Amino acid sequence: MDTLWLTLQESGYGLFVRNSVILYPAANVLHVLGVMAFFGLVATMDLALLGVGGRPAKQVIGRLRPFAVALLLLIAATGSVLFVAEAVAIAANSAFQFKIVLLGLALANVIVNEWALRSQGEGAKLARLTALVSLVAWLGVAALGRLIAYV
Amino acid sequence: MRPILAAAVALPLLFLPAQAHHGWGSYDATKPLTISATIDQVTIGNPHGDLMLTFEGEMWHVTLAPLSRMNARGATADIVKQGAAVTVHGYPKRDGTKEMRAEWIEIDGKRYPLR
Repeated sequence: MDTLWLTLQESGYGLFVRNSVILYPAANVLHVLGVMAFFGLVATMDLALLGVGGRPAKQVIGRLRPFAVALLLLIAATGSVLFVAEAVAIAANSAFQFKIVLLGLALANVIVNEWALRSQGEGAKLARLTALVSLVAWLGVAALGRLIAYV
Repeated sequence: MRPILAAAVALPLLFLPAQAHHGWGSYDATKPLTISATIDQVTIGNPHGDLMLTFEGEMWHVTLAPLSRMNARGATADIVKQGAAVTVHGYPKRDGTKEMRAEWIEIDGKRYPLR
């Protein structure tokens, strides 16, 4: 794995990112803006499920989820630019490693949420629980991302 | 949800004592240091530039600013280059590692603020 990260980091693309005056800061800014917009949508959907937002929650989710998925792709794309500049150090960074694990859990939670909505309906305990897990997990992912620079 | 929330809040605290790298807190601003030497190696780039120099027989790693700021301050790669005589003013790492965060660098009598 280390060899892969080193190859990526020392590739022409890695060099291009490190030497770019615009691309790296632009990716950084878009990454943060993407996270803000993404969490706004996530919170709107989760709060609807928890009964303190729009109703019916299924309709809110049906409308907003495509935008959330698009924003997640933007966040991933800009994040990969930030990653490639110093891939070896970031891959070994404990905050980043915890972030990826929590990201995996947050994504798995989306699947559980979707399953609960389809089989049990939006008022079910499981659907509400996944909404709470979602709020905490996505905030945790963002916090761990910011902490990469400090560990 | 209490335990999960508590864990989410406490989790980041686990890494704080670890080998902090970028955080400003890991550099000791009460012990400013000014050293003059020849640049052994330098990279100007993202997320920040780095230069290596030998001072009093020891290799120092100096953390510079991001590429766009280096350019904005005029500290471009054709000025901050290997072999150039440089004076670096900055703060050393608290843990005693030979690493410092540059507040400014001076080359050919011209001072480039990096913060």
